[in-house]
Amino acid sequence: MSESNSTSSEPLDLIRLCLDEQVFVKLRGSREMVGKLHAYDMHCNMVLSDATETIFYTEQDSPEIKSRTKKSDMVFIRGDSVILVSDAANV
Amino acid sequence: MSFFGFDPSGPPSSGEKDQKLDTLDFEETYEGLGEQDEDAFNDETFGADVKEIGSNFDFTGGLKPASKPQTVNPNLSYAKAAQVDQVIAPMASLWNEEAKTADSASSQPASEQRVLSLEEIEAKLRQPQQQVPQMPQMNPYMYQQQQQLLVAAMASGQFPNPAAAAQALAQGYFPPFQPGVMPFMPFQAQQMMQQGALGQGQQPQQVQPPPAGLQVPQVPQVPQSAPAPVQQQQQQQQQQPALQAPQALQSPPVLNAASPPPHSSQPVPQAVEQKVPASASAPSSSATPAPQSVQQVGSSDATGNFPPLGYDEKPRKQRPQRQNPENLTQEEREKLWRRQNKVSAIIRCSGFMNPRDKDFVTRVQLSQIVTDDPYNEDFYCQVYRVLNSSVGEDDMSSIAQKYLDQSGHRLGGREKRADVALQRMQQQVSKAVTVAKERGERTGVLAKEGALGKVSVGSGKQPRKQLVINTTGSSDEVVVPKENVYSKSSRAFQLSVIEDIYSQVLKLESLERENQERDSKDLWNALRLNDTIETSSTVVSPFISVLSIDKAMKVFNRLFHFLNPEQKIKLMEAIFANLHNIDVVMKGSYANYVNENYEIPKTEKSKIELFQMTVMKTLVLFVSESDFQQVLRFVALIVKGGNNNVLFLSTTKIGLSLITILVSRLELIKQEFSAGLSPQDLAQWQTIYDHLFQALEGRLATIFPPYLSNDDARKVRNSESKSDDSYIWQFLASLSLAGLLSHQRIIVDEIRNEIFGSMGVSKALKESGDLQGAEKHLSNLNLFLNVMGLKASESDITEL
Repeated sequence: MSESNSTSSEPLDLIRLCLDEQVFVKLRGSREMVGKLHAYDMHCNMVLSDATETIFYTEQDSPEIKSRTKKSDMVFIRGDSVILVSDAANV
Repeated sequence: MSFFGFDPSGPPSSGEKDQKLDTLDFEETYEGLGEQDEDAFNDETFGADVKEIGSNFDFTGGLKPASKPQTVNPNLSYAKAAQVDQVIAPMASLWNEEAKTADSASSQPASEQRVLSLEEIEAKLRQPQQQVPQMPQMNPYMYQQQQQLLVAAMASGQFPNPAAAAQALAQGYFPPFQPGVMPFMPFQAQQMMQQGALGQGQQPQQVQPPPAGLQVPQVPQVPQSAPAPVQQQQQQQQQQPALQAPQALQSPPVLNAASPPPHSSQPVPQAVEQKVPASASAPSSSATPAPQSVQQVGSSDATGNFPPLGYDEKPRKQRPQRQNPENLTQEEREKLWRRQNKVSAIIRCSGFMNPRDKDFVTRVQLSQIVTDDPYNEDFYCQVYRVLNSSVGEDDMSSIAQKYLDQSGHRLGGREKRADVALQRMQQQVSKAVTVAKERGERTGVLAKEGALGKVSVGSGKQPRKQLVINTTGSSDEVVVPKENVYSKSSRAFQLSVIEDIYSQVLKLESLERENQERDSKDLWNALRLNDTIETSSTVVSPFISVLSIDKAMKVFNRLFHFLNPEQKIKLMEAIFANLHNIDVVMKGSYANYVNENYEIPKTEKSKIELFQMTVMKTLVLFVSESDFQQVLRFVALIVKGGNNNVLFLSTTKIGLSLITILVSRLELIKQEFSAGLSPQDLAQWQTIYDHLFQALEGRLATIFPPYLSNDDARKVRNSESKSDDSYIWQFLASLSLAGLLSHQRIIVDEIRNEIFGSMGVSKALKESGDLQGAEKHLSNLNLFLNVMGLKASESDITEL
């Protein structure tokens, strides 16, 4: 049994591994979040602490993509906007 | 209309669908069946289509009153409407023998008409120029009703032929019954509405539901009584634009039932009125008020007691007879509008459900939130409740109370019936809990005896599964794809080890709460102490490698609690033997950061702090309860690592503190319980101590990190220099306590510079006025000196 434990049997197991770790979350609306994962659920709702949100945007008449960041001590991410979750170290 | 007023209507409109049906080849394969057999109950089953949803969502479920055409087309003559409706009053035709006999005769022309949906009729009504006599799509009952109405209308002589009658009907002046809805209409609601109607001067006959309505459930009793107020509202809406259009103002307040119908183009034949048995009992022999009332009855359908969608913005004047719109200022009018809007929004859906319905919904909602296993499904809530509520609070009543509070329900009504409501809610909760218990244990699968299949039940925490797959085999037999197995060198593997541990700990904690027997075997296996993995520097067991990850440190105390004594000792020994391999210890050595001015990175510092708070706390507690031999074994394990090992550990805060604790524990036992110790033990301790001392001898000064050193030759200043150095002096104190006089002499010799440096700093601090800082330095120094019977002041060292 010890062998089968070090495997992922369902997709959310991968997120479980990231609990209490820095995670990178890509969101709809050209946003990204990096923060410590405190909790998640089956809808990919997540709670991050010390999170930095990066919002990408373009000015009206320039093709250049700009970004600005927002910091939050604790933030709730609704799962329906989550595109990707990854260990922040891998990004 | 769907259940509970939820509006499930999707984008496709049935009107459009009908049009599409004509063009789709696919539909033609049905040989016209698609048109004929279109399920008349579709709208009731799937909800009526809603085209106009404004910002105000309409929770009435998009019910479209048949009276909408009136609002759409204000030019329609009320009188005309009245005529027809009067004739088609459902009771009238139902109980009209004449109508029944004529039924078969007239059914032929009517059935030839293409069946239309309500939407299509609406569309037609919006384009009055193409008024083709058509029968609206109806369910069979409606259809029959329609036939009767038609016959009745024709019999009354109003219409020259069936087509004309049908046209009138098609314009919406008939009650499109939706029988599925009517049984839900609670009697109170009817009464309420009736009273409302009465209060506004409606005919008393409406209060009495016709006998047919009571005997035949399908017969719509509701339209007889309920729609009156709404009808008024609709008419008021209709009037609203008229506020700006003067010619419409000419029509008198329509609500006033006593007034004759406006724009009466045709005299209402009294013969028809008398044929209506339902109204015959009522004192409505005078023709004028009756048509008005019947029109109101007839032109609202059973469910459409509410204004159509998209008209929310328009105010409804409930009492125009009291307030002449022309006399109002704009402000007052707006105020009135707002008020009316509010009132109508409130009463729009009131009375839809009877108490049993409400109970049912409550139970459905409660069944989602109650559980017979609260700690596993609702852990944080339970803990919060324990922390924040008074002891002994009943679980059920708290849930019930919470539910009442949160949902804003006032089941007991406005008055002091909250206790009754609470009581009822408690009953509901206990019922729901019983149901939850009957469900399959945590699997959500219920296999009832004798049933062919299994029922899977969903809850808020555990949604119903589409597939219920029985895994009979044990987890050992599960074949895992190769790519799903983490490589042992990966971080994912380490993390998965931690998660395994957490799973086991949670399982055991759950068992502990339930006072069941626990077996720590699985947990022990999850620690994988016998396994080995290769790290960058050495080969260790996975547990040692993960012990420097935050969450592993945090769970240490919890897992340690569940191990049996033997396992605890094994784990301890593994830790002490691998102390130098634990990442957090290793990286805490100042020797790693020579190039960074001995500055230990912030992340490492916080990890060291966490380690001290979690793992070390547990270790210290365990050591403080261990016996002499056991502690001795731990020290031996550290010393066995070799001189370099001891030397390295002494450059780390964690290592130094742990050695201090072990040595002082040994000395404590030695001094207090010397009687219980065999000479053999003491001799062994002496040997081990000698080993320990040898490892440090000659390099004792290195235990002072340069940033804490006060030796002028070594000292370096960085951000850490102000931190507490007492742990070093404690180590020296325990070392000299355990040693002989010769050992003490060597120690003092080696760290002489540190001693005098510290005294110098203390003196300087005192001169600069920092008495507290000076005192701190001295007391730390004296921790060590007192052991040897010495005492230091700013200027010299004296004997105690």
